[in-house]
Amino acid sequence: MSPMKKQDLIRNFCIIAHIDHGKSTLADRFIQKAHIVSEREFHDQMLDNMEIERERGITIKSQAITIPYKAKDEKIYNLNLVDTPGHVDFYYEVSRALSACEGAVLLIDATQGVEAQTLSNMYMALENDLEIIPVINKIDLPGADIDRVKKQIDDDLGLDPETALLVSAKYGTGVEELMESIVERVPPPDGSENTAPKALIFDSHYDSYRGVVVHVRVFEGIIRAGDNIKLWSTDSVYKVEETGIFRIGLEKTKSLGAGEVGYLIAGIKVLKDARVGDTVTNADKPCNKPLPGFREVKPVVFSSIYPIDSNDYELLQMAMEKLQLNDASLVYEKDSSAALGFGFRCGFLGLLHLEIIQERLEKEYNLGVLFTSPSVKYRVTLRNGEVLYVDNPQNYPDPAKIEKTEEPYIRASIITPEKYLGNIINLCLEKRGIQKTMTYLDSKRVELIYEMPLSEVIYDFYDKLKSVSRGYASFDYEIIDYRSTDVVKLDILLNGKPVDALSQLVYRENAYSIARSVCKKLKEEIPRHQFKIPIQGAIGGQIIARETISALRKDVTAKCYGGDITRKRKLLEKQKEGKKRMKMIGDVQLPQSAFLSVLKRT
Amino acid sequence: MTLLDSNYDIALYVHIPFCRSKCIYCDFFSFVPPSVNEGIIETTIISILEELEYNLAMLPSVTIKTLYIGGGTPSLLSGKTLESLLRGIDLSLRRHNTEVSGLSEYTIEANPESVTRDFLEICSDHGVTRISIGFQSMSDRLLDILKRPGCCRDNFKSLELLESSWTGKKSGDLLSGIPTQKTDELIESISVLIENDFKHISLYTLTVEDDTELCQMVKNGSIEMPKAEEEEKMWFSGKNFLENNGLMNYEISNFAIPGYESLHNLAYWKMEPYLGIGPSAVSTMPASGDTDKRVDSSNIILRMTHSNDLVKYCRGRENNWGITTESIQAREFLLENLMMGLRLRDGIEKSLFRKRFGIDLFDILPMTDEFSDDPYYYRLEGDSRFMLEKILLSIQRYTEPLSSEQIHIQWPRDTDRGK
Repeated sequence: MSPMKKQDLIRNFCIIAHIDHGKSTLADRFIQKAHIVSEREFHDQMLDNMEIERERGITIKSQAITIPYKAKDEKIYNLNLVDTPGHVDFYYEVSRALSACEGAVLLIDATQGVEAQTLSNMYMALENDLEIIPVINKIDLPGADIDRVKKQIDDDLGLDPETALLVSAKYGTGVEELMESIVERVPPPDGSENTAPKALIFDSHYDSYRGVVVHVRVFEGIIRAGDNIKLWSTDSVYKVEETGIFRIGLEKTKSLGAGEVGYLIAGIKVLKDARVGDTVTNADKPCNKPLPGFREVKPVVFSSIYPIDSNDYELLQMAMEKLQLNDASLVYEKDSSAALGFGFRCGFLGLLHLEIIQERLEKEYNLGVLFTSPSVKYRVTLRNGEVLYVDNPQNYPDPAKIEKTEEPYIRASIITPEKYLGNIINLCLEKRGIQKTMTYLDSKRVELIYEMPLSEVIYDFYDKLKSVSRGYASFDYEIIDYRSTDVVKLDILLNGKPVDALSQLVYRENAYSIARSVCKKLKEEIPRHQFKIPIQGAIGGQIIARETISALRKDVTAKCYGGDITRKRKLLEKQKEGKKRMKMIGDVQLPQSAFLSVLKRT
Repeated sequence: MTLLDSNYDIALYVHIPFCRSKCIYCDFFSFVPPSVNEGIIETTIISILEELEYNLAMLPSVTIKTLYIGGGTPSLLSGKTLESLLRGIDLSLRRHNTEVSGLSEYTIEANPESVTRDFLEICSDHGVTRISIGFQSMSDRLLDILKRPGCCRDNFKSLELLESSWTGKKSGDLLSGIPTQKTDELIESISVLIENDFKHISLYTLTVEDDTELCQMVKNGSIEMPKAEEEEKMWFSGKNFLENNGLMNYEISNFAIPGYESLHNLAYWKMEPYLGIGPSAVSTMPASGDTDKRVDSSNIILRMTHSNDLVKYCRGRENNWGITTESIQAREFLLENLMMGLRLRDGIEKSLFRKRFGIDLFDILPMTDEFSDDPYYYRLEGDSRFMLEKILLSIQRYTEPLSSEQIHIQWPRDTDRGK
């Protein structure tokens, strides 16, 4: 019998699941079982440590933790759980986190069954050669249909349903067996400690005292404090100050060797220098080729952020810098608008990412901000042959000079119960979708593959999909290519003056309906003033939609006697507070919600 | 802190918190059967009289100018209970050296269906000079929508009774903007009151208050409020009709033939001291920081709000009638003065404002077009129904930075204070 290697006691795994299938709850159970945190310290969803994540119940950042586990063979294993983001906006981060593991727990909700993200995550896990352990979760719920899910595991996923484990993460049922299965079924990592080091960056975070903390999976060699390391994509060299593993905090170790998951601190100043997917090696004795799969994360949705109070521009700038420390996928540059003053043009991974940034600016930095209509990046070829990429309506060239415009397309995968098929096909058609395939996964459920413009998806597609399918359809997408399109710039005029921040680039055929709906929404959102305010939608000089906000009415005129004075005064004071959340555009006060309403076309 | 006792005027309010049923729009505080019975009502009335007696005894120097018994539905009281309430008030006032006949106004609220000859006679006998009746509308369909306890026939029956048995002043409440209401129906309702010699009419817009049945209904879509524009047009038709008949729009929702304005309510709008007695009633009174309650040392303004818990209230003095007290800061008081005063067509008297706050309004505000250039009054230039909210929002920008030291409050009036 060969001597026990250190690696034999390591298991690197992740949990992959569709949103809401119980990933974070299961992670919490693992941590509790390992007793590395006392019950008092334990709070729900340990791994999701950002306030917004906890509120939304979505994991945004990859997180890792090393859980000691004493298996039936009486040996203590280190189970490295790499928690992955749970939203399509963070597709690339998920793929990198998966490649740091040898195994994946594929979690399926016993009441919901296999969904679009279950499939796409499984394919991703297969691409990375991971051992997949199917787990049926939420078996405690009355609606749990284990037989049905087992059949789906067989039919849709092509996995052996007999290997599926039954778990209730909520009550801890089956968690012990699952941990034992991880030890038994996930192969231990291999790789030699005697060759040049090669480690994958699967995430990083910023610590205000230590600088950038890089999350790595070492595949070969060993990394120690004092080593000079090189980051492959930028060729930059740093000296390692500390290595360690993830407990509830960081736990320093002498080194990180092949097969281990942990962190390193190396005086890296800004997060974007530690790129997810990049390879870390020794600067003096480098490996000869990097790990596969690295690509730069490119934002796909663009929008400008302005402070509601123009005096807050510098505060906003500071907040953006700090946010970028924790969010390498956020990119921005200075921008200005005639209506809104100075701000930033920002790129996001998707609309959820945009909303998260907005919430963080408001909650963590207490800043009132406005976002302009999100846009994709168009590829514009001018008649003189010049090619431009345009994501800001203000920079859209004079149509007379344009030879052609192209827009990004996605491949969308939708899984739905058969009875919503008609609704969903109509929705996809409305969104200019081109059906590629339609596959019956079982007698009741269908997988649809559509190609459609990204610009149709970033607004309200997901909300509409949920509403036409009563929440049953699931959705996933990836960007495929650029295709020819017909785009016009839609301007919105308030009180006769165009508000540049409300302009958007839209598909010509949709311009009328979008203009009408934006005008209507603005009518609802803009408070009444002392005067009438016309709201108009226009292409070039041509008005294509119009609404009017009539002059202010009475609310304060409701009866007021001795009993209501305090309440009425407080109401007034509160209204004034609300006014701080408004932006003056000429004579018109525009509330933040007006900008938001333009984001969502319904 | 104790309430200041010196020679200033107060408006006295007594709240009777009982109704026959709850109207869908009402957020005033009242109990309806089966949670009340005659015994509970009698106990409450006894507590009200005790509270009144105690307060008047503690404030021997103040002068009661007006008295208003509101609700709830005071006319719901049985003849016997009403008799004992009014007699009790009468006695307390006498012990305070005030004759009911010396009040400048004594109002009681009533609902049409509970107005009886008996009720009117008892009120007359005890010196009530003004009756305010909540008609709301003269259409059965609209009264049904509002779940009013009475119907149109009750309205006309009460008008007949008033005609035969009431010699005092009359005021009527009407609503505009009731779902499905037509302008003609509103005008018809107003006409009925004018024909019956009502010289004071309150015309309110039906508003959706939080925590009312109406609010629920609007949220769940079972009722649809009229569009703002329609409602506005209707209210204006009402306003024009009233003014064409000589009832002037002296306050945002109140109309009167000159000389028939509600003196008691004017005291609220002018932010004069008022003492509220009864469950959920509110008082705003000057107080003294000194233990000698005759010394006005620090211009403290107290607002006291009664609990609406009948048990707490009826435990009486040992529980201070369930009152919670808030101290109104100078800046808040200034804002309240503007908020209330600018509701009036006459606005706020400049000299009074100067005396009260030690500053001129225009010392703190930039000159704005919203104010008329009347040398005696701060007054909104246009219709306060449209302007008040805006002006108050912008005024806060200028009043907010003021520190309490910059505002020298003399309230009620320096000439009336502890001399």
